[in-house]
Amino acid sequence: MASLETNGTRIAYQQFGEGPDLIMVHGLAANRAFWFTGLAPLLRDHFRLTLYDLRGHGYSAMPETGYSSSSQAEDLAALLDHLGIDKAPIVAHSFGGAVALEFAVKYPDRVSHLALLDAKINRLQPTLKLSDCAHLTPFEQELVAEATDIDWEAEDQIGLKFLEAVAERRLAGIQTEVQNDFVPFADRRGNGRDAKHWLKLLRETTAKEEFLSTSGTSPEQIATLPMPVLLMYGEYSRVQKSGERLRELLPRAEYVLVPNAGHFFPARSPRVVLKSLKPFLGLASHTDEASSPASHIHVAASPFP
Amino acid sequence: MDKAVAMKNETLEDIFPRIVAILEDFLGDFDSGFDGEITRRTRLMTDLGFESIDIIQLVVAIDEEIGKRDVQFEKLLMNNGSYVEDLEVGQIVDFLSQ
Repeated sequence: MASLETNGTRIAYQQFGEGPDLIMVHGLAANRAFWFTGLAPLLRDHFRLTLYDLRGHGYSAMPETGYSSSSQAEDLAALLDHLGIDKAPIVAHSFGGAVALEFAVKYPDRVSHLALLDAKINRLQPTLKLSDCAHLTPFEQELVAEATDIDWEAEDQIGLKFLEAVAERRLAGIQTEVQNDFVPFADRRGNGRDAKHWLKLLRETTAKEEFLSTSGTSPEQIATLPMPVLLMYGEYSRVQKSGERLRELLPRAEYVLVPNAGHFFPARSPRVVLKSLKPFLGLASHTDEASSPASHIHVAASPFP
Repeated sequence: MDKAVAMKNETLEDIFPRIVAILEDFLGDFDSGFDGEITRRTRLMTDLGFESIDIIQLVVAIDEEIGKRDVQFEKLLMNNGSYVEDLEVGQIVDFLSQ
């Protein structure tokens, strides 16, 4: 299988499509499959896509350590070296965005464009409490209401806690009643291997602590990024604060607020992402986008037609 | 002869046992609880315990081991932006034989 032994671990990857290179980095508790609900199939006619599983995720190995965004940026560097890719655009979601940001700061010459989709940057947003969340998705509301053994108000990292709690409930056989929403580990067909895998990662490695590490790149370093940057955040996303801080640090970046969208809009609404991504990457776009202002801020079309 | 050309010359009967061999390799790596015989009607998710990442990795394996290059597997996996409910082994064989 396509994999690379590097930095004491094994990284699973795959490439497909035709054209210049483009790298995609998924977020926590996900894997390469995250991109297949739309973005990857839509981009394959324009790019040779490189998709990989973060360490501890999907078909990559689960070593004891090395899970911080800066460590995983070195995994990405090794993968690109292995594949002979000197420079490419990177599209990254959530924690994958933190990995891509670390990579871009350390290797600015290797990133032609950086698209961060609802990326949470711990250094810029060190805590995330329930009281910080103006909006909860239906499944999160259900979780807070039903999992009363958890002191939700006291949690400093509510996003990770949601992912842990939902995996625990999946394995306890408690299924969500919520439909038509992106719910991690909610697939009723499998036997919950993905939920088991995620809990093993949190409990048997240093991943949980490292995912939350605030030792990443400094705001001053972020401000020096030379490549074009696209920041896309969901209107209802709880990590918008990271996006706003990035926008302050990178005033030339294009900032897109996706209306009616939560954290998982790249999987839920890939065409909305594509509308901003295509012109950002220099691809021909629809005429209505060609006439829009080139930068700063615009509001994307609704993801729900 | 290159692998892709070789693939084109294969019949359905040739491909099926090769897909079964690849699937059995996968099953060795995870505890699916499946101990029957894989047939064309076997469902990847319901019967074999596959998850979306496993199906994607299966296509990578098919790409590498059978030599069907750059399979547009999303056409098999996706329907209107969502993953299909399940996939039978026979559907994969038919898709590869097109």
